[in-house]
Amino acid sequence: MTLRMRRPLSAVAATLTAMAVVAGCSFGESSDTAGAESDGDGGAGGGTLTVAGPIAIENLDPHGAASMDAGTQLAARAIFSQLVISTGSGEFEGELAESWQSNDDASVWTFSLRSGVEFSDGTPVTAEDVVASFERVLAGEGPLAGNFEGYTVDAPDESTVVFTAPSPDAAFLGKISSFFVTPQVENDGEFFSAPVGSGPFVVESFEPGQVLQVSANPGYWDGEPELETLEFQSIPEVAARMTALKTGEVDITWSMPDDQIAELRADENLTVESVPSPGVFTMWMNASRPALADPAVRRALWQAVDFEAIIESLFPETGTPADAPVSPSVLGYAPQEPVQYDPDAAKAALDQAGFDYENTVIEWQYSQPQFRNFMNAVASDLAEIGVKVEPTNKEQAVFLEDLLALNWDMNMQQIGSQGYDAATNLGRLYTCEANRIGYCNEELDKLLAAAGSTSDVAEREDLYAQATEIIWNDAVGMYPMFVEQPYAWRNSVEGFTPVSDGVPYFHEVTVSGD
Amino acid sequence: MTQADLLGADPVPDVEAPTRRRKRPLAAVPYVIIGVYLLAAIIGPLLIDYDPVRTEVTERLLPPGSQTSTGTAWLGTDAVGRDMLAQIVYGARTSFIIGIAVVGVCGTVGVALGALAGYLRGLSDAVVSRLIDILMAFPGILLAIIIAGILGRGMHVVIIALSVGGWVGFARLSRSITMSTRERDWVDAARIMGVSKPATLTRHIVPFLAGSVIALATIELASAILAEAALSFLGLGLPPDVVSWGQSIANGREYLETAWWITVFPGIALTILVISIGLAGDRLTRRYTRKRD
Amino acid sequence: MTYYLVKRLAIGLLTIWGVVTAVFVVIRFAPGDQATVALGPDATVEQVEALRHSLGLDRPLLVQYFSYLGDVAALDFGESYRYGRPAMQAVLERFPATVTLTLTATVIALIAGLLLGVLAGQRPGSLLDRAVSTFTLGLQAVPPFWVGIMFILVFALQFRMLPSAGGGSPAHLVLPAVTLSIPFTALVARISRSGIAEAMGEAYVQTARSKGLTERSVLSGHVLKNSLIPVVTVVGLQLGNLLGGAVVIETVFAWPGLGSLLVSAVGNRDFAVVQAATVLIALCVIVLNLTADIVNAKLDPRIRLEAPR
Repeated sequence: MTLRMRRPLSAVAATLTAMAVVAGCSFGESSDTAGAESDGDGGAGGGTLTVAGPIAIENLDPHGAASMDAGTQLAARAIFSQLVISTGSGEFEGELAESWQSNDDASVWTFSLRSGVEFSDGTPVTAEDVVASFERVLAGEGPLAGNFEGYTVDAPDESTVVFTAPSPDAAFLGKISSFFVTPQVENDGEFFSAPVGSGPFVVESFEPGQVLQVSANPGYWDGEPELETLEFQSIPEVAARMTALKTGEVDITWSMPDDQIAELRADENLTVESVPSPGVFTMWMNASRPALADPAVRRALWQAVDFEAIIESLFPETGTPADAPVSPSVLGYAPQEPVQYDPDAAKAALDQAGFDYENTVIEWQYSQPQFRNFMNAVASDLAEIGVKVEPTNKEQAVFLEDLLALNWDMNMQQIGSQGYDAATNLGRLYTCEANRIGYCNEELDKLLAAAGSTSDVAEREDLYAQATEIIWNDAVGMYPMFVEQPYAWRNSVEGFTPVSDGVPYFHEVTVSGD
Repeated sequence: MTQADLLGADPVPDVEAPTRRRKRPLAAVPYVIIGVYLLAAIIGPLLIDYDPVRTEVTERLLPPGSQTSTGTAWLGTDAVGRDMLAQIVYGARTSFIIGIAVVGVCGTVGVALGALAGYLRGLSDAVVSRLIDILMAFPGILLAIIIAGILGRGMHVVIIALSVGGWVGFARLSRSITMSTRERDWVDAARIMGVSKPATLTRHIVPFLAGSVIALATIELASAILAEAALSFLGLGLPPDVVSWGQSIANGREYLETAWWITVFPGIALTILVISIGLAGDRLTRRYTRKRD
Repeated sequence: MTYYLVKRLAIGLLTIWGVVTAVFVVIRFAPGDQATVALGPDATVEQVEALRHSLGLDRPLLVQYFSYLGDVAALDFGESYRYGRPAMQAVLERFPATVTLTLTATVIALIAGLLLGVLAGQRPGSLLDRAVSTFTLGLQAVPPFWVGIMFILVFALQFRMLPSAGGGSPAHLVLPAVTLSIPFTALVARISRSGIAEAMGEAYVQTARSKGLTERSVLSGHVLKNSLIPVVTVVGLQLGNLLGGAVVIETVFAWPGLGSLLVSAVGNRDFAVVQAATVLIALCVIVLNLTADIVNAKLDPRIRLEAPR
């Protein structure tokens, strides 16, 4: 849920980001990944494609501790298969699953598997493999397990898998889209250093944290990819990654910081494109703290920050002012009246609410350095009207503990909606039971519960719209910015589709020798 | 016998240094530079207003000499529009606070342990010596990275992390000087006269350590400042709201091509300071080792 | 000699124990729970408890400590949760890159340092001597990580001559190795300079000169050989610091070695890797120091190996 990236500590970044996906965040900008080997432009034969994302690939096990890392997810999407792929606002495409359905209250999910799909070693993918993989996730010691607490899975026949949730879970499809099916194996450690999967590519070589080389899987059910080989490089330094793209050592990169994008646009050999992501800059205000308990105070603080100006200077390429707690690409998005910057009104409202300027220091916690500039700018605006805010950087481990213990006044995260469904965001985080924000509202609880236990899309959209209105007007948090996911690739690359969660697929890409 | 007599009796009058200083007027330069830095660290913050939290996003990444709403940014501005010159001045303060604290802790602990080990010999010497061996076998900066990386953030964390391995040099030095000093006549005399052990140690031995320890402290100050910058550069130790040269350098890495001044100026400030302290330390060491041998 | 070796070995073991214990203590003092970090914010309390149990974190501290010591003695450092493999394996995979980097840096430091030392030491007190000495002092004082960035700025970004980061080809090695060698070049230069300067005044050099030997052959035949001994001693002693420096430099250049692995493991709380890496580094330093001592004894018959006092 948090997206964490740290410039020098590339690996850290990875972990965190992993969590990001879980919670359903998109990956914002950042830095990290690396190596600048040669052989970029490919060109020969079916072509060689070299890509360098922001996060290194450290681990190929899609079920374990690294399962939610952006790096692991990236590799997994090339090597393994999901049951379903989420393609946007509540929409899914079958991968291993040919069709699926749920019962009325969305607690039992039945999937029919596509027939004739094989692992790259020739053994067929069966319902048994799906069950074994899911059980491996449940038993696993990774962040994915937290999504499926209390679930059971069963394979009534060769091609049918049934998941049973302990309680209604309309967000199940979104969550299961991070789940990959692997063969049943004895020795995990050895297997995952060069795993066999049913995805479009086959692992050729893997140096953890550095290079992953894969080649086309001739037996891929949806047709063999045109690329001969695909190489994932790790280039942790942003500047180096940009240089590698410009010189052609790398063909595709993404999640570039805003300051780099303008320069890339100027290069005529490159195509730069940003796509809306589910990520939203989310600044929860802890309503269980006396100083922030009054919605009027929270609204006033929101009003006191000139987000438009900040976004324009810090995120000219990847930020747009937000008008809802979930992004427009998410099922359940309902636009609200934007909060206008008005420091005088804010000051007046705070005065009226009896805000104690002198003795209140708002501790605003964060763990990922990429928020720092943004937070400093916000704190600077709040200082203008006399409100003291202290951005406090915490080590990820401490941040996480404090986050769950509500040991903060304000919290900074980029939160997305896994599976492009508000259920994984609003439905998961804003209930009284989850107690994640210090905010509890029974009316909101009812709306969220109702939305989470029906599979009727129109009804769910309506319920989430009502919920969003409460969240927005009560200013449970400030929601200043929707995040766009930027990509850049060389013009020799064809058929590449940017995806909004920052974990792209490559099996439809071709490279022309340029 | 007083210390003054002893010092006078000891055949090490430092005649060379003054003549040299006369011959080379440049010799004073490092002291002047260190003085300027110290002054900047102490009174700079009173003159230049800088709040790491206050940003001006519309004035970001301005090159050196640009006009801003608050005046001229002689060394440019960083990624959120903060003045680089002010950052460097405030960074000097951080460097000195941490450097001096580390040297203080290390010096106190190191001299105490070293002098005790050298004077008492026996078990305490064995323990201290083995401790020194252990720490010598492990690169200090690595130890600091591990400690600072795991313990979280704060100035005290940095000071602890750098002190854990830093006292060894002081301990070795004071142990060896103590061992040779304790064989001197006046120490014997004190012992015979029935002066207690602690008193002998503090009054007759420790004062002889002073010169060498000060020389070593100067050199250790330089390396503590360097190490702090390295830690901050790695993003370990100091919280982001404490201004530090290492952090400024790291912050500028992303803008190397477009805004080199963010990385270059703090690095120059750091280098000049470390060179000056190193020069001063060298000179002190030369003077005191000559005296000791 | 045997006594000496046994004693050094004992101290070596003691050192490893000290390092292992120190890191264990630091890790236990660390804020933040390992299991919570591994499982992320969505895990239930039961899941966290279960993981704590399977990691053995719910046992008394002393029990954890001794069982840990036992594992280390059996060379079992546990599994890296990040890499999903035995920690020592992950560490050993990165080790060759670090060895390459430090060895290259050592060679550069020796060649450049001796060259500077000869330049300066030949005529002590000359203008050249002073210029070189000032220069080496500067080399010793510049922060290597910053110089590394400056190299990236100039050679990689401005002139596009060399790759700025990563590993794999010899070209990738140039910038990190040169950066890492800088303080050690200065050290070698200063030591060899004083050795040479001293030797230039010695009787045997005067004799050689008076025999009509050229300045060059005097230097190579007599002076250099004798001034090498202190250089070897110091280089041997400094190799540990070189490894420490490598950790920082590897991070600057994303050099895929032990150092960058360790720094990221610290950030990730991948404690198994932190432990394995520290033990390996301590082991290296101990072996290197011992080797330097023995080489020294071979070079200079006057040195006898004695237990350090």
